[in-house]
Amino acid sequence: MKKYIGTRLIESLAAILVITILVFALTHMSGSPVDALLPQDATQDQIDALVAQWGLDQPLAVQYLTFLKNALAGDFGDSLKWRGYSAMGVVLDRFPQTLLLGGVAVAISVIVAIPLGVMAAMNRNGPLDRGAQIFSLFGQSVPQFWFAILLIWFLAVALQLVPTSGSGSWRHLILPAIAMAWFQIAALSRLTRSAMLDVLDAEYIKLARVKGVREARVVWVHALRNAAVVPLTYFGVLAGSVLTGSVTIETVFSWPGLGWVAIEAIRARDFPVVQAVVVIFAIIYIVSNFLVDILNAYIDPRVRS
Amino acid sequence: MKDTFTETVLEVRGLTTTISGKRGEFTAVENVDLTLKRGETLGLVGESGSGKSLTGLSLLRLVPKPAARIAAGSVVLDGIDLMSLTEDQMRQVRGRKISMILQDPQTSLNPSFTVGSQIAEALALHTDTPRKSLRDKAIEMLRRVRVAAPEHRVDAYPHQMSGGMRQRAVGAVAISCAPDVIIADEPTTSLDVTVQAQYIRLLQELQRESGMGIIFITHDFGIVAKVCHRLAVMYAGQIVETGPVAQIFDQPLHPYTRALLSSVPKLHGQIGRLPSIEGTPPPLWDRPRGCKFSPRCPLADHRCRNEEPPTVDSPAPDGSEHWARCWKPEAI
Amino acid sequence: MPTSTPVYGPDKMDTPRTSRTLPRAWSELRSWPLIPLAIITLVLLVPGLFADILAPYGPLEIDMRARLQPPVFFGGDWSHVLGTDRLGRDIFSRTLHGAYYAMSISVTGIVVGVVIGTTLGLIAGYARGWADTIIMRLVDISLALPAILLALALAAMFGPSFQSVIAVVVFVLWAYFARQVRAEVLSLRERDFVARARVAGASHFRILRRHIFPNVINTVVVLATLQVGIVISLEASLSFLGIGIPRPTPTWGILVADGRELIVTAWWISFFPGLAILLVVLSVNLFGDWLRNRLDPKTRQMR
Repeated sequence: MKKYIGTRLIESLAAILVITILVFALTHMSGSPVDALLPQDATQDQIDALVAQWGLDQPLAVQYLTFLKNALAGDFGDSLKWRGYSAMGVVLDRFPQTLLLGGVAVAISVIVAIPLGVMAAMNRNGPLDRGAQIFSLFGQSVPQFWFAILLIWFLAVALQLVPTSGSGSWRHLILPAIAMAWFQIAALSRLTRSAMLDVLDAEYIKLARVKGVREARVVWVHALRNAAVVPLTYFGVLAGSVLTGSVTIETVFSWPGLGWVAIEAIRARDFPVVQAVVVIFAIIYIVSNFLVDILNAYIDPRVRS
Repeated sequence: MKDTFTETVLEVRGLTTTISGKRGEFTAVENVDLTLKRGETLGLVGESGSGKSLTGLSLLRLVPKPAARIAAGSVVLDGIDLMSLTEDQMRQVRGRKISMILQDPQTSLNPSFTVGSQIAEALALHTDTPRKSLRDKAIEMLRRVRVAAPEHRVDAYPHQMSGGMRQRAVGAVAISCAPDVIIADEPTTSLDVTVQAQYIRLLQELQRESGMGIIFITHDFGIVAKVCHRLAVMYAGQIVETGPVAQIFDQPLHPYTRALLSSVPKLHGQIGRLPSIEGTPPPLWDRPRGCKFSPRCPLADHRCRNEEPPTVDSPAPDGSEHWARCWKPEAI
Repeated sequence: MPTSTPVYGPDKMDTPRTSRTLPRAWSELRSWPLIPLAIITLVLLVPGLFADILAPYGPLEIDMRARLQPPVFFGGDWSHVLGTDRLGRDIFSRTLHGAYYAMSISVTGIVVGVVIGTTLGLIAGYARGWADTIIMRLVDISLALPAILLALALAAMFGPSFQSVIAVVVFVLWAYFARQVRAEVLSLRERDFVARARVAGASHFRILRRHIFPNVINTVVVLATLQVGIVISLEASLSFLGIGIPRPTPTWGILVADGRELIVTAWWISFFPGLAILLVVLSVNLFGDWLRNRLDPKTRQMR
């Protein structure tokens, strides 16, 4: 187990390192980093300070190490759009909003998708199963941004139930969370269903019934405990889809989280903020994948040893 | 084997199970009669697909849903007709009064739970063992099935144990609530020969200790000769012959039994070799008319192929029942 | 877009000559996902190839007198079947042209990604050793990073561009293909005909080209076909966000973005291009499921 965690940890750190190289390389590929990192009207003093801070007069390798050192300290320079804030400050300020939205969306999708998948498996080829299959097929094919717009149209405008955009109250959270959860429910319920189908045929399920275990317990404990490993590996992918989703969904609903900041920063050519967002995104994604793997190992004793 | 068993613990009459699928509904277990005495081992023998496993599951009312359905019959266990119980009452019976050892030790334990907790689950369901002593009880059960170092094994996961040990653990689950009847569905087929012998010895010892009745489902006559007192031969969903093991081995009535016996090493060696059986058993959804064995039977005539054969009695010298379902038992 | 499938399956669609093969060919055809294939043809392929001929208006043709006209049956008329946008541009024509971009971008992206991935997969699987190690490490890392990161970084540096979109698509695809191809090569190189060629003194390049590549290409083509749905939705998302294809190119993603603010008053601007994406992606996914079941006998019987 320790060895496994160690290997995964090293892999994760390597991936984060690659992202910093990528970000660093892009800063230099587009011309002078000075143009990218400072506003057009920067004074010579500001330029000199920047060159000194990032070691821009040094060889590339040294520059990268300086960049890495600053990045590790969370320093990506100052935001160009949000004057007076550091890039990392902007990102950290918005981060809880994305965490809230992503967390609610994941919670909704788990609460809906796992029971849906389990029940579909138990009523295999029945009407519920067919319905769930059609639902998940559509859910996985519908473009998220378009679905989000349609949601606004139907729910917020036609039915006047919830606000169409912005943040502030839990009612603002409903539409973006549903839009984000939709795709995940589709994917997760399908995975759960097929994992459950595999498990329900197993001999140990028969043994549980032979013992006289209640059917509900057979399904939700004996079967789901084993089937859960499959959807759980998917949680890593889920983290990715939350991040990707946060960019689209937050843009459509003007939800002021990381994804919204990223798009706003790109529009304003605020490269320090984009850098910070990308690195933070990468870290969130890689760390959550790492945690999922550890959790998997915990649930499945075969991985553990 | 001369043991005499007097008290009937399980009596099955007219058990019929049907399966419905793409080909419509067909009968997979037809009109099965079985009697099991306390302390006795009954061998249920047949080729694969003969319906013996489904018979075992039918006794527990655990036929695969929704395809299979118990259509008729009674299963009286210790004076209670299981077929008249509600599903809830039936669950109280499973594991406590009648239990089953499944075929494959590789897959019949849940990989996500420790062996101990899987034994303890049955105890918690059916006995009022206090929670605290469940673990001790589980250890005790593992000890009873001769698992070495049960104090450690109780916390092991199935994948940490060998095949033989796992099958012992499955046995421990089955006997944990001291059931009256255990159905052992080919419990040794996937074990290697030495482990097989040990396991069979274990089952016999457990039986002697507790006096439970065992229905031993197998296709291996070698094992039948070793462990069973009586025998029921199944073909295409029907019992075609039943009687004491020694009697059947000496004087099989049904041509199918004779053919089966001829294809295994001899007990006494003096019976002349018979040609082994040509062809394969009929699929259950397309069984022939008349005697189900007639297409493969060397003795079959027009009547065999068209009319359901009668039951022919030929009681053993000690008076115990021995009968076959055949038109021509005398021709043998 | 080549949908090369008849090669596969136990009974190929033989030319129906006798009266006995005719019903067989018919029932074979009946098992094909005809509706998805028809949708792919009608919504993607035909408009993609013939948008210029089929579209009644130019995609960027502005007509201020015909602004915000609703679709026919919703208060509009036949001059603009699916209505017009804020600048009087014809939604139907724009959606037809969108198909061209969806098609050309996904074909370009997939071809580049597949060529890179296949080449690296061939090298990794055939050469093994350190080349294999390095390539597979890169594959792992590439698979461990969500594409949106690259998309954001590229857009920030270079602004929205065709090249950025292709780069993101390639980033998403190459590792997947490298891994698949490598696995196939690993098993192929142990086969007799490769050993024979080696004994006969064939060069490595010749063995790869003549003996290994032809055996890999079928799988690659099928897998590539299945990626069309993913690539189309990816491109649409990026363009919608303004970090993909630059405006005013009428890609489906941009068309949806154009109508976003007007969804309440002029729903048709966003609705129809989005519907086109949904139909195409759904059909490709259905077709992909069918193809997978057909090629993989393990999953064939059930679920």
